[in-house]
Amino acid sequence: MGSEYKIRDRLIILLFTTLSLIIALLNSIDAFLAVKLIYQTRPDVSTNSMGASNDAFGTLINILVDVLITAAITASSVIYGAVISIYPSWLPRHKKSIIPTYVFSQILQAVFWMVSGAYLAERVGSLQPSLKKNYWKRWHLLFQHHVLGRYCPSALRLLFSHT
Amino acid sequence: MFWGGIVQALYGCCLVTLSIPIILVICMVKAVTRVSAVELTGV
Repeated sequence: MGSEYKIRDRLIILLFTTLSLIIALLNSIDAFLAVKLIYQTRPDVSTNSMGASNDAFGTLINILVDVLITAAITASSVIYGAVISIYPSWLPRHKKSIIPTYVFSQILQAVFWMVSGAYLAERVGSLQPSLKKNYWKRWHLLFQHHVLGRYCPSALRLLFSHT
Repeated sequence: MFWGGIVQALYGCCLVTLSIPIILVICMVKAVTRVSAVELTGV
């Protein structure tokens, strides 16, 4: 086996490892955003409020689990790809087992990415209306209390208070 | 998050749809070269 074979194999493995790393980073960012949104929409225990925010909370927990599982599986594949491309002495010796294992794991991972990405998009799509409604409510309250309350006379405040 | 999921699903879909034909073509090329080598050498 020539040395150019080794370099070509390593470069191909490195390319797919980099793409997997990007997917792992994307999932980590999604997990970070999901945790931030979970803190915003967590149900209030003191008032025992159940409703739209509780549904959003459950959906966000589902999203977080999905994203974390995907990130963990992808990170393990990234570590495997990095190790076999950094240690080229392993490639010629175990080429018959290492490269087919890597290809098979990439295909399995691609199927998993497809399923989990579609699930994530569907869950976030179902979540967006309730979040938008909550944000709108929050901005409306902010407007009523701080802008109208401070700068408008009471007659105008009454006019705006039921909008 | 929504577009992240869409991009991830599309990349997975592309990888699956491209890798299976490529692997089949590689296997076919290997099989054809093996057959032609057997025909040439007779072994």
